[in-house]
Amino acid sequence: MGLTSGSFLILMVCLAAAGVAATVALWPRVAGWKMWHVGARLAMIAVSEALVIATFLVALNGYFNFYASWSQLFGSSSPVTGTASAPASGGALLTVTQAEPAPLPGAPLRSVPSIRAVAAGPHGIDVAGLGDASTRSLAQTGELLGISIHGRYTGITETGDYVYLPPQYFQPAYTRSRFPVVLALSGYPGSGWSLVQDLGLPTEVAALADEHEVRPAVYVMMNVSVAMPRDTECTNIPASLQVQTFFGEDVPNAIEHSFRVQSGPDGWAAIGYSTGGYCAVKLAMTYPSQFRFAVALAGYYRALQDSTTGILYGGSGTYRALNSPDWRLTHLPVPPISVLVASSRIGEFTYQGTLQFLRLVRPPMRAYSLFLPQGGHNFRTWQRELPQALEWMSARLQPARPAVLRAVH
Amino acid sequence: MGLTSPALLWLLVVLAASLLVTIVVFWWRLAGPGIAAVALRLASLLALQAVVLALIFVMVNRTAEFYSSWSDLFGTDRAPATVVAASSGSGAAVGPAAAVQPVMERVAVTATAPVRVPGDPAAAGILEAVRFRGQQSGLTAAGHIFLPAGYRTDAKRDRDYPVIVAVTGQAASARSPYGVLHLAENAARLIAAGQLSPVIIVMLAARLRGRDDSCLDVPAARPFSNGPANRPVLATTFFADDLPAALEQHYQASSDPARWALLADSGGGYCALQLALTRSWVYSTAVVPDGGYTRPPGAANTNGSPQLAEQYNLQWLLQNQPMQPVSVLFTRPVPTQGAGAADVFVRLAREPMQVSTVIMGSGPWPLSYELTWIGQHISAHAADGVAR
Repeated sequence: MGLTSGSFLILMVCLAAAGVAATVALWPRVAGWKMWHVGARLAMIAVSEALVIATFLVALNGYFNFYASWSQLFGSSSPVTGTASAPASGGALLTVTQAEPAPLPGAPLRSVPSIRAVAAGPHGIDVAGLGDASTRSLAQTGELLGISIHGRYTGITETGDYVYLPPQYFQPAYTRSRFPVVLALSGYPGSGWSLVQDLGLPTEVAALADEHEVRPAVYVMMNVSVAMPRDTECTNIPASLQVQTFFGEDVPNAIEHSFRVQSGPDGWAAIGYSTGGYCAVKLAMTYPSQFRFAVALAGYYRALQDSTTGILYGGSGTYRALNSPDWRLTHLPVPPISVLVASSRIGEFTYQGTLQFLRLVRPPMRAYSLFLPQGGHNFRTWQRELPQALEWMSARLQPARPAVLRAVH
Repeated sequence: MGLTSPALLWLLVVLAASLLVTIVVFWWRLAGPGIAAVALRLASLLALQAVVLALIFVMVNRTAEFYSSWSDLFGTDRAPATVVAASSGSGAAVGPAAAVQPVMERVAVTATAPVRVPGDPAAAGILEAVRFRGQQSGLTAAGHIFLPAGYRTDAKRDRDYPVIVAVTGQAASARSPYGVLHLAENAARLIAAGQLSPVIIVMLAARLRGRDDSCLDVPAARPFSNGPANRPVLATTFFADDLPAALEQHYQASSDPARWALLADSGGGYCALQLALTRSWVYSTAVVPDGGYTRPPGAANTNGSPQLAEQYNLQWLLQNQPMQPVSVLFTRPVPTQGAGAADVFVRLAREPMQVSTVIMGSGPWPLSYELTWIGQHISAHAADGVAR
């Protein structure tokens, strides 16, 4: 039974109710003043309390999309401290497992139904025949695909991620156009789905496109952690997972081989919230030939290490420093990229760090800021920052050029 | 009372504790039969549950800093914000290292000479002495670039030449086959004879600065500390990011990794193999003389970081990382077996990696076999999809 499945939550609710009911029912039997009576009361309260708390946590996890499965929560097969498993040779770089017309602005968001898995071939993914919808209807809505990416160089495989293809991707005028790409990264703990649902990225994109505030782009929405429950911070962990290479080389490689997208840095941006924001900025700073633009919503700009990350830098202060955007700005040449950093003046622990980062940025790198007066480290805050962030990227990314039909005289 | 204030937390703690004590002590008064007693039991239990859940929520929220205030929690913050461009160059004042860098060319040519081979008038080319300025690593390095005959006059200016990066400490040697002149003449001769398709050759030392030949960003031999970080010599960044950028911007170099190769002498052997195993999206081919370099040269002292020591051990990489799409050729002067890296590679390499060894005879033009072998690999490859 899945951690986030409705049936599991119902089971937990039933158990919690049963715990309360049992306590109420057995109440008179332990109403005495013997030692065991008092002990039994405490025990009954503790058990029913524990069941209610567990139910609360399961509901909270479902609401915030922290952990998508039991293995993500407890870490079973995923290599927490080990290394990437050797891949099956010849495996496809990208596989589509779910497909649905993208949600229109204001429409309720459903889960994306599974399809028979389609692997990217030598000519990429043939999106025409993926779901039930016709190309003609997708040309109105765009499409949301559930994907998994297999890293050719790192051997890292990530499943449960999403790709949003804009309506133009299916329109005749754009059949030869290459679209810019936005790589969106979740926070930790999180999932690709939290970008779709909690941040509402595809819905916001569709709404802004309706108002002609953003131009069409392909959005790749990924869990920032490749090895849940470990927080890997997009780091090439010595003698372990090479996560930075995965997002900097493997993911662009897989996307460029699968979809009709641009391959130059002018056509690639990275955006993320929290840990994803740190990663977006770090990726652009270390792969400026892949990402020219980065947006960090409530990001931080130093290399952190804590109980959820384990040893990330091999115990080397130098290696750790190379993973810190702040340190790179003060000690290394800066790349010709543009970044937008967002935070809140009140309620965000990232505010001071963001100010510090802005003070360190120097040409040829350019920085832009977006500060809300107030707002905490949560999706509601990031949703308020998202429209401007999307417009900022769209104004800079090299647009997809539709074919121009010329009248012949 | 603020959502994140200690007062709220303590209020909930006191409330939960007193509710619990009250329920346990006055348990007997609710133990009676009848609807009223049952309803009271239920109500008291649910009240306790509610207070405890609120307490947990406030504790978690304080730790993770999800919601900063009541207005944040209930979504009543609506005040908008605007994107502001940070004042340009505001970071110029933080220190000498952060001084504004003038935009500089990635390559500066310091001298140019034609390549001629005595007795072979058809063989020609250009040899340039250059200085690379790594825009990501911040490293500068002197080197040489061989350009094949016809490079300057080639009508097809959009032609992409394959690239061989020769990592050698013997560039200045007049006698070594890795010497700049010798290597350039050899390539010109092979190209004229049709044994090697036209190729750009970059000649560089593995040792970019200091005393390290490993071409690593953070050499494992460095003493480790969690204190202030040493400024590292980003050699991998130079070879894998700066060098391709320079060649693609200033020369007609291919951006397809299938057309980039490494050729090393024994001093650059570890450097070349390390780059092939960890930057296969830049280099797809490496040719080195066999030698004992599964570990970084001069890095016997790896006591700082066992993880970095493993990461930099080529045998460990072969055993633990996915096989990279590279072709490696080891050359040996005589048939030997034993301690060299070749045997380790041959034993551990699997598809898609390809490892070959060859025993070299002697001849008037050493490295001819290596160059033609590389030429076959980097020109035979059909461009595989997306260029770098």
